[in-house]
Amino acid sequence: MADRSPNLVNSLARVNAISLGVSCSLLAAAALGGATLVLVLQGGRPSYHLGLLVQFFPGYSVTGGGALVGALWAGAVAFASSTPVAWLYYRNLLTKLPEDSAIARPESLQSAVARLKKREFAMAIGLLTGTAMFIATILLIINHQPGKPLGPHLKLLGHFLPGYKVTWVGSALGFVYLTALGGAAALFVAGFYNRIVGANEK
Amino acid sequence: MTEPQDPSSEKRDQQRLIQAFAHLDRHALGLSCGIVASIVLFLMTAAMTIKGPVPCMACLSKNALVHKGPHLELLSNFLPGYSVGWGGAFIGLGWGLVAGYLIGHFFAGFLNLHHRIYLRVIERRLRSEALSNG
Repeated sequence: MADRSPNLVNSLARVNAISLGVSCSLLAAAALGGATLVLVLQGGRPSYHLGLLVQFFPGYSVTGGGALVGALWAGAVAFASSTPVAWLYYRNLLTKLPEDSAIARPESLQSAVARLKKREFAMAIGLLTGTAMFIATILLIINHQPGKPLGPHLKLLGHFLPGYKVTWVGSALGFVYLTALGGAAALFVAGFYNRIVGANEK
Repeated sequence: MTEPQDPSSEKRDQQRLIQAFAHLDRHALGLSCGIVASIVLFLMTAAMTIKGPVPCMACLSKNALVHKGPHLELLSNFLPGYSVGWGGAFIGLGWGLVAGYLIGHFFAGFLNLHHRIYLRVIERRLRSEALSNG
């Protein structure tokens, strides 16, 4: 008897990871492009703080053209960061099929509603947010110009994350904090989502 | 010639396909993202409000006080009425729900649309292959 499962799992995980990456990419592009355009239309000083994103996205500015550059950057970063995490999530999901989920019952593709696996979803989102925080802190340290303050705005996160600073140790601490907080938020999102879907099905 | 597949393995593969392409409930994801976003924004605003105002270093008056969250307050550029204070925290609760709902709703919509397009393409390819094979 032939077993196609490993190939099938890999193919499905790849397709879903790309789907999710594209969705995140579109959403991030729309969010940053939209936020930039809102500030451009308002005009004046409020644009200064969003303009600081140029430290992470070269070429970005709070202008009409900058909105396009920002949308491209946000889309690219969102795709590059979410696709590997989504691949891990879907591989795990498809390898260990849950016994109690909707898929245990014969259902068609049209009517099946996805459930989120809470633990795996939390791990994926936690890893994503933690890594983003780590990279953002590291980028500020690497790109720091002598004589200028180091990451004066990112370090304000220290108000919420005790001990966090824009330093090498701070980047590790930020990774731990954001992994825990992102994971906790994702756990709640998955929990609420599964409950609402369950309630709708009754 | 392809080998016949184990029936239980075939059933698992069918389950995998359904699991992989099951659609996300847009309303449910929107609502759950909205609830979490509103709680996060409320807690951040409340934390800044509890810490209270600090002396203003850049103001002309020596006794002037400013809130610790001037940067968080910049969210009012996008969320009208929002401010760092108890009133703003509750307005932020509402805005967080709206913004989170929109993010979750559109994310699920994009993902479902991508799945639908992919399945449509596969279906067409299989049909044309079946036709060409007679």
